[in-house]
Amino acid sequence: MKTKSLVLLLVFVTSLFPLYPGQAESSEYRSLEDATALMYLSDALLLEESELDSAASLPGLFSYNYSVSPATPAENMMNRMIHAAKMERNDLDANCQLLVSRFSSEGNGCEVKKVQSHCGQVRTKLNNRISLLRKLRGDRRKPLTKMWHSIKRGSANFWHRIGPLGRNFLRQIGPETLKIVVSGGSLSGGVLKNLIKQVAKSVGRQHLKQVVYQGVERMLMGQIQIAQAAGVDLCAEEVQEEVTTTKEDKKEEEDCSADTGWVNAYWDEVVFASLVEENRNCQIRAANIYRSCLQDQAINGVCQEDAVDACDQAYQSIPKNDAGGSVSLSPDVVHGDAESVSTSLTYPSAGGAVSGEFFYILKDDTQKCTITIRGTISSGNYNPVTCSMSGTASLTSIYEGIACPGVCGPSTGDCPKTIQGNVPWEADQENNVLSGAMGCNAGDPGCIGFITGQ
Amino acid sequence: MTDCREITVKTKKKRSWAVLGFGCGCLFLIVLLAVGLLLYAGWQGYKESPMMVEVQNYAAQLEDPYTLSPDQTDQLFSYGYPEAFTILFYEEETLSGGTETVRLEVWDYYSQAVGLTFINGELTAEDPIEMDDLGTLEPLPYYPEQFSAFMSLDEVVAAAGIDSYAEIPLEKEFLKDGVVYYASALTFGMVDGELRYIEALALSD
Repeated sequence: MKTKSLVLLLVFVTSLFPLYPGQAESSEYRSLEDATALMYLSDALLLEESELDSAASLPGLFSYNYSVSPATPAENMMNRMIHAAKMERNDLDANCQLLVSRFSSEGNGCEVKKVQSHCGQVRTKLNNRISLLRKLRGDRRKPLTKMWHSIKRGSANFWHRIGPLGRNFLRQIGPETLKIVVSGGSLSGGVLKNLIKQVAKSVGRQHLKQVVYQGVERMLMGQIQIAQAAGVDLCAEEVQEEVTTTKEDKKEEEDCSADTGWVNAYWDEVVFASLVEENRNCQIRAANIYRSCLQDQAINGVCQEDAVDACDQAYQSIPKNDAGGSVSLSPDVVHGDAESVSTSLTYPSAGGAVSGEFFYILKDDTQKCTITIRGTISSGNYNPVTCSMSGTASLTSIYEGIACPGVCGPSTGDCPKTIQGNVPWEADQENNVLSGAMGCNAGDPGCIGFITGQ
Repeated sequence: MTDCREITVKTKKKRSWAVLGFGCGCLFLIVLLAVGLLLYAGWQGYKESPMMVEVQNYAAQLEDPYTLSPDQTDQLFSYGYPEAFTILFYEEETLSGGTETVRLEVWDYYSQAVGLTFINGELTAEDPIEMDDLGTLEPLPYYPEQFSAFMSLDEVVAAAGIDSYAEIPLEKEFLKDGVVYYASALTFGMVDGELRYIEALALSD
């Protein structure tokens, strides 16, 4: 009986594993997205450490008096992957806007819809990728996972010894990859050259955008052709409608098509005020979709009243800025190495005084320096029309340990050292994301960047 | 009475041996499991670790080399070989329901301030590059036609004549089975062992 049970268990367990790894995989084709993901990551791995945090679209928020490098190469790699995904998302948004405005100006309403739909899908994928990577980074900071990874690193040396010849571990991904590229392909010696993408960063960024723009444009046009071939054709429906329109209707359409400038006036006089009143004015992305819809209708010669009706669904889809009343948030601190993070920020949705506190600790990988940072909002005000808040805060940075470069240590005076002062702070709310900074100007005792979950 | 005692002692001895044997067996099993776990962890760590690789020999011969298109040949006559280039390889759906390989490449000429985009060899865009003087550019040791869609690692290494390269495996959360590589003035990325992206980088003195 026991033997029979064991055999059955074995059969059951065996059936859980696929015979060939390939069988479990989907048969998706080789996508443009995979190729661009590799391109963005490859670029991110050539960046210097200090350039990594500039991924978010808030310049100036992420510079620190003292930069603490990530604890492990794996964590460094994770930060660069997140950076790459963010850069790709930023460029996607920019390229999508370009394509939408191009097709809108050409009067291609169905192409605009296709671009918006495609961009929405890719954006969701990229957001998912960023969330997964962030989650993974968080998991790896847990003690048990940390221990497992340190066992992996330690035991990997065994396989390295018995593995193929001519293989050595890399320890510092960013600086080492850059050195390999600029010094003739090795880590030992070679004359160091300048990488043009590093010297002229705007050229490098433009290059990435250009490649993606070309690829996405071609792919979308291809998909529209396929849809047309399959009989699913938004453009054709519009043509059909035009054909069946009576002469009278045609005359009306011609009258309306003479005036496409009503969108801006309608937006400024009616829509914006409604959005503010309904607490929906900080949802820029959704509001822009509504505006694009109105513009498309106007370009296609639809009269204002009909256009507003046609776009009502897009208007209703604009979400609320927040839950209303007194809103309490706990933003993330924009620093990959922040530990013991504790934050709070409270503001009245209808506008008024803001309060909050930010606390976190930074440790360098050699355990020589620990920085404790605390920022307390002493005054602040939220403006619900501009979706922004600002004020002053008390910021304290305590440097402890053996040596904190540039602040305290053998050459600059003994640690611990406390630097304190009043600093300006500001934050903006957009698309359910509140992001801001405290300090960050020359002479400030520190700099705290913060952002709520995206 | 004496017999009974002898039997009890013998039984106790047998039990002691059994307990000892069981203990040793458990201990052996635990040690075996620990060693197995260490080896498994190490293998995982080894596979996931970024490595610097010295090429031992060039094995692969490129089976299907790329030939420049008429548009590309024309541009070579006008501008010469590019000072930097990026090529993406991917597939698109076709009207017939199948897939078509796409070769999207951008050739950069910094000294002539122009970038050319080709899709499947057809010139689709000519964009200005705005930049200041960057010093003397190093001649690029690679040519676009050296690389074809979905080449294997061995083929890329052989085609580019690389002596050593860095290999950086990616987390599956970023791109499943993705790896990026860095060599002298060159970076490329592969998925499932197939070349999907390659970029020859411009260097200056």
